[in-house]
Amino acid sequence: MAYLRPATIASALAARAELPRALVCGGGTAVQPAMNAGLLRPADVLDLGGLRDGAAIDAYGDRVRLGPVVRVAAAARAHALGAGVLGGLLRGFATPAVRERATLTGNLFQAPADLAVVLTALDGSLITASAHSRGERRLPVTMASALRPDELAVGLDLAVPAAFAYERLAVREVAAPTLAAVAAALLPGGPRAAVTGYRAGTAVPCPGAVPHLADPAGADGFAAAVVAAAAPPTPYARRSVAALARRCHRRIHRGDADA
Amino acid sequence: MRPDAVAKLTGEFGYATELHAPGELHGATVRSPVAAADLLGVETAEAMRVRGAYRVLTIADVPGARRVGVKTPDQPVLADGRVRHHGEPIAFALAETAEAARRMALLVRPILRPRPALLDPERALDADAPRVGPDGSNLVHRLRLAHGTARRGATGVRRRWRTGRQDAAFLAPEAGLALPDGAGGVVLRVATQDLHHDRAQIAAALGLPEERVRVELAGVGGAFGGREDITVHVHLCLAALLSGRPVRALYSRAESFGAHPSRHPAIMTYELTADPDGTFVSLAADLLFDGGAYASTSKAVVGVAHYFAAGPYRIPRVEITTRAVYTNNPVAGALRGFGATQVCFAMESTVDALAAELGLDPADVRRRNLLEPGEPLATSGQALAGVAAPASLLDALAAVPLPAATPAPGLRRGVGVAVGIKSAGLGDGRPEGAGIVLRADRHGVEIATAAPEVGQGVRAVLAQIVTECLGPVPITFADSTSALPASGGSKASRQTMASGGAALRAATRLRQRLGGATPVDLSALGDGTSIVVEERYDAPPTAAPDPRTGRGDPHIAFQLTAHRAVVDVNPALGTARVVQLVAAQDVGRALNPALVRGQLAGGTVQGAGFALLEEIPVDADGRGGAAGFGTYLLPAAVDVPEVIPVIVESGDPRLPFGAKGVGEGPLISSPAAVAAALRAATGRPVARIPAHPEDLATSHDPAATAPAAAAEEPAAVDG
Repeated sequence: MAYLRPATIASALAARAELPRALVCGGGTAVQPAMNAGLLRPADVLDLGGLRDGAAIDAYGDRVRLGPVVRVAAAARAHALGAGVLGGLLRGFATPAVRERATLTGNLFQAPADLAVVLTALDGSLITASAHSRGERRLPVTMASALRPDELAVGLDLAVPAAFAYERLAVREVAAPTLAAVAAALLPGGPRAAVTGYRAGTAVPCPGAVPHLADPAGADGFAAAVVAAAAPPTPYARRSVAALARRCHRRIHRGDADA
Repeated sequence: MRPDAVAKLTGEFGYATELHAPGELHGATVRSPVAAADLLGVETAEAMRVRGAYRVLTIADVPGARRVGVKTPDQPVLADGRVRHHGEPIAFALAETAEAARRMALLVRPILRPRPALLDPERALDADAPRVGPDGSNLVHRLRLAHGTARRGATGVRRRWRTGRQDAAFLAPEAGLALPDGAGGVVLRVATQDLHHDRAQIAAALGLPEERVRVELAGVGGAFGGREDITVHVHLCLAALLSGRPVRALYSRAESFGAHPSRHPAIMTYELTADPDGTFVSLAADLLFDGGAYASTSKAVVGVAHYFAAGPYRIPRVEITTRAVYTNNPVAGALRGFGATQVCFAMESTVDALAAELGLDPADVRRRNLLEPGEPLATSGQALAGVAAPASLLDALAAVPLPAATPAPGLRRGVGVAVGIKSAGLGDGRPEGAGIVLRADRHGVEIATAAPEVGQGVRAVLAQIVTECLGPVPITFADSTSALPASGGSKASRQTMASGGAALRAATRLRQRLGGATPVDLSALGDGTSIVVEERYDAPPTAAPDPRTGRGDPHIAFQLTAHRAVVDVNPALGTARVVQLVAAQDVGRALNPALVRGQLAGGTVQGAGFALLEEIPVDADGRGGAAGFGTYLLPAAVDVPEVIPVIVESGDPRLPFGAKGVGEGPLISSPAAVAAALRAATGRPVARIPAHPEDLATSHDPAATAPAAAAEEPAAVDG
């Protein structure tokens, strides 16, 4: 097995061109346990954990570009993303240890990709590049599987939120699979929301929810629009998605989510 | 302090997962990808092309008995013409490295002709159901009893309850190392609960006399019943004998979940009637346990469930049928609680339902009907001897203050209580004894016991008993092996009674040989002089109940427990958080209160996990869905609330020191109490455990009832 740990994004792209079937590893929080358990047996591994230029967070205008190995906890603390605004990530995603190592970009390649709903709400796009072509390509954050064999995800582009909420349903608060989740953000370009669950784990944007999210009195309308986007299959699923949406709305406008 | 405490806390403890030997081969198990099929052959050519490949073993290589089993020998050592559950061992691949063995296991190709799979236990006894059992029947075991007149109470409830597939989920997966002994025999170092039971099965499969097989206890990382059945044992020993080399194997976490039996999923219908004042009149119960593909301990689990199905209550009329059936689901067997956990959930839930129907306080209903010491159990008729008054456990719970903090805004709090009962010890007419050897010299006393230390602290208890008798002498332990007198295994909450009784006898005799005084004077022994004492303790005899009447005295002693649970539920989402658990248990006499409190707290939390989190889902193809602790959710630190163990001491005069086994008790009534608290918080029936969020959500959200047309609109592409 070849194990490559490039130091720069450029050398990572070169390695990718050389080993297009290599398993790409970011924070390693998914890959390492799977390899330890014998569930993954890659022929080669391309470890991006050593990228010196891969953890940058660059603000431009009202948006921000994140390098491919920016950790979840680092993003949630980042001033460029409005320090503390993404605190919802720290409450709802994985465990403290995983948040410190897992990368936002790497999560988009997992199944399910829990952060896809967050990044969709933040108007995010996945930036890809290849050693074989000039320039970069942008993909929806839910389309990580559309990378070409010679491409790597080299970053994320997000809007900086003025307010953000992420509410998740699981059997317990941490370290349990997500059953459903709603993310909502007040962005410079207008409000955005997304929902996941009950549709094979995909993150679905909720355009109909936008006017209600902007309205401090619009919790009911927001919840109804999110439910309509999610199309949950059972009465309980509808109720739970609506409850998550209400909690997001409340957190956006009041800073708390108590029912 | 526990003899193993420092090593475990410092990471120095040697678990079976770390065993190695020079020149070792590595084994990996080839498992069935389907739940039911005829096995037409096993192609190994491609696997043998792996670099480092040594050999692939199949059933054709087994020289002795082809079927083994902890109680019923119905389980092929390796699949023998047929596979009966997903993950069943088909072949054992041997290689020079672990990685090569794993690659070989992936490349061995079993030739399978699928058969219809029986996955619904309620269909198992239908005439047209696929036949899974070895003799063409799908019935593993059935018990029935009916006592009393046919009178029914004026008020009754009938409920159907289900419990899920909980796993032992011990932290150290199955592992072992077998070594040829150079004389045609074999030594197996393995993590196990019963050295002698293992040896008997291994010897039978190898066609060897038992004395040619030596089983040595390797470091055990948890057991809970999940190591009663053999797994790697015969495969390793066979491989070592055929290769002439040491052979080791280590299961992955995902493999471990499917390799040992889980708790029996149960479907239980209860009908309980009472007079208007809450006095129970009749109980009718029909209990169905899914045993999976092989019998394992199902017969014994049926016995425990059957005779404790009515709880510790006075009920004039009882009519109970209990069955375990074969299916093509994963094998079910021993797990802490052993059938009593399931029926406690069903009985206590039914009591709560009846109290609600009567408009009475459920605690008052319990107090009115709980047995007094000496009264007969409603099922077997055996006198409830050697216990505290069951109602005193409710008093013990009530004496503990409820949590001071109120629930967070929007959460609903519920409080639930349950009472449970189970035997301690094997009982049912089976031998209930243990042997032990003490060796004293001027430096101290060595305890040689085959009672496996599986984390329960048996060595600490034995050392304490010996020290109590001899005074403060240095204590060491010999390795536990099958060459020592049999201990009967660490199971059924029995070792404090059985090996503890043997230790007391042996220490008493040793003291006599040393002059009779306490403390003994070991310095009187000369250099090179030692005294060896071998003793045995046999618990008071029991007898299997009369199968025609269901009456008899099958139990040695009783574990009597009660729990109170406090939970907070989010009514919109149906998520629940346990706030406080109180566990009261009559332990006879707490020889080591710290260990007893640990048992009570641990079992109680394990029960809360069963009520809310722990389940191996089995899909429509019979495949278990637990691959790791990301999908099989054990209670983690964030889930563990304030846990208050309350030790109730009522010494059983028939037992050494009056001490009873305590290991399983805390997992009898804890799940039922959590379920009762969930009902109190939500008003929902909570008819199954683990309870899912959708079972607990209660609030009506108008936003969630959007018109169907709107709900079905495709989401627009967001610009």
